Amino acid sequence: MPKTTAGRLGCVGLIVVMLGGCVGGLLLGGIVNENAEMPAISLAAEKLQLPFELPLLGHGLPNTFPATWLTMLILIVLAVVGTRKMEMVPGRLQNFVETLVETFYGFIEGVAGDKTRMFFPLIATFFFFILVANWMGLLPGFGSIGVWEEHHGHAVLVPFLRAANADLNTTIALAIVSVAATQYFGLRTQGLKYLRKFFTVRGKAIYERPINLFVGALELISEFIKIVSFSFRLFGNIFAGEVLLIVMAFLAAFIASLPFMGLELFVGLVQALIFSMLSLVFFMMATVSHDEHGGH
Amino acid sequence: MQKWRNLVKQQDVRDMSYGCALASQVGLVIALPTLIGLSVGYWLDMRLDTLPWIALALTAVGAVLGPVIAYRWVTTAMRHRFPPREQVEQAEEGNQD
Repeated sequence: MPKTTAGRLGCVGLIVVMLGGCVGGLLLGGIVNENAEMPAISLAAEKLQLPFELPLLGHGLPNTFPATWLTMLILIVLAVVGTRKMEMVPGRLQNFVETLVETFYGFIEGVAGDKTRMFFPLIATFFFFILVANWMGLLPGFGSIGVWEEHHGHAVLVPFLRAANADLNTTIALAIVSVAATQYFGLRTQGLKYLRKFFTVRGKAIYERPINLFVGALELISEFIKIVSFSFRLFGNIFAGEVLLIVMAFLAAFIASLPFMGLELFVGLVQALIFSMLSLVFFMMATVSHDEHGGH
Repeated sequence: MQKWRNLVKQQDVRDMSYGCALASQVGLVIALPTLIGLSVGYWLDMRLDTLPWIALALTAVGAVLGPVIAYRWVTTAMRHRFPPREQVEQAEEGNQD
């Protein structure tokens, strides 16, 4: 609870506004609006028609594209403005940025130990990018403001913005970066010895050699499965959240959506945490030599 | 703010997110090889006109590989996070010298 009178008044005011919105929505729109048409839910990102042609993309720009760039813009501006005038006694914004970074640094340090400095930049970028992208997708305007277009005789709303991770292309890109970085860190710390994990014909006894070859092949397959699992988990969770919110908004506007908004905030945080944590685990596993584990 | 920082630094939250990551990965790693085997097999079948044999075979291969990969993954990941007691003691002795 806020301690000042103004803070308390603000809290009460916020609640009153929200309740007023609910009641007003009920009176104006009705719980079940029979004229409301369910928006078309599209698995792929909708294409915005551009008046000019882009290289590789043509005339259609996926609507997750602006959302991705907006996320990057927010993060870059926050980082630049927050660290532009660094002072020993930090100002408000610098303090905020420092708190975020320090908290996450301490969080990673508990898992990565002395390798934190090597992994932190990439892991933190994953975390904050996914977190901001997920939470931004819940803001009003995402998925609701757009242009009407004609598709197979139906008028379909093509929104200008769509949560960045509700597009499989974004999550596959993130997954490829993560898995490629795993190989990079492995090669950097262990040298060519790292490749022994995948291709090996050595073994104590003769009969162990084909088994080790098979195990190496398994490791190679699981690297590719990692890309798929990384991307599908993130995409599935965020896209399912979008669909859930749309369905709830059209079942009973204002009231039913509210708890699910809270749920989606939680899911967005947990997914960002899981993605960065898993990347960290894989980085750790790639940088620890195989021989250090009692010949396993 | 200090309170929140202490909360995040707690071992419990870290272990919880580690467990979440581990569990969600295990589920997918068991399921995905089967699906990948099925789709690759179906694609090959379509090209070679041998439906359904390659699809069946690759699905079976995927169904066997999935749990094996998951088992290997969980054992190695847990060993990294919670090393066996002897290793911890060895490392501690090494630090003292």
